Amino acid sequence: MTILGYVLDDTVLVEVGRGDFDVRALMVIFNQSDTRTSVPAITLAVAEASLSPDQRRVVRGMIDALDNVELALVSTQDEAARLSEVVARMIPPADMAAAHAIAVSQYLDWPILTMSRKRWAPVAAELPWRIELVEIRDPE
Amino acid sequence: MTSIKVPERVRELIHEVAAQLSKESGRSVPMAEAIVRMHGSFATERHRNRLAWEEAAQEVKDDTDAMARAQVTADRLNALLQARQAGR
Repeated sequence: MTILGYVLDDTVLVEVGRGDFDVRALMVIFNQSDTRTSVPAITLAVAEASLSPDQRRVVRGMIDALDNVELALVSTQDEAARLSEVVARMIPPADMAAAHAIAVSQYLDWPILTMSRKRWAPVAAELPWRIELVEIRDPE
Repeated sequence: MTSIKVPERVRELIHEVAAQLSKESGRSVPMAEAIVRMHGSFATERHRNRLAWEEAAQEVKDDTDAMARAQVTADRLNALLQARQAGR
């Protein structure tokens, strides 16, 4: 059976930390319905940089507590190479939060879940590939 | 940094575990003790983080409107994943 899931971007992680009830509730329901989610470590680091210590605790606690959430690290040469492939195609300074999300999305073949497509417009313009994005809020 | 008074029993436990670790791993007792303390502080941090999430999650679970809205969103997002898979 193919495992299906989403890669969480920095905008989603920031909202989890800041206390968006709808996003936090979505994470709870994803866990109940066993919808897998991946959190790229560099994306997490960038998201955490804009959060308070208490808000960071919530995000870290979510990653630790929920079985369906997995932290995607850069701990092997292959993982570093995949990230490097993306970064090499970005205009410096590279958007590392986006780069790691894209690298994980390509590897897992999962779309990126975001709060805002606009956040991704400058990144998409730089890259030769289509970035598969899904916005949490219904566009209709 | 705030200094916290470590209860005597905890001190004893750290010594006991460190002595055991030192015996098993061949590391020095001070090194083993440093490792035990580091893991203890990591476990506490992790526990606090989980607690912060569990409190936050409980708050949203108690909000039936937020849960209902999130269920609709989750259904839509899961349907998108299924449709994407079917299209392959």
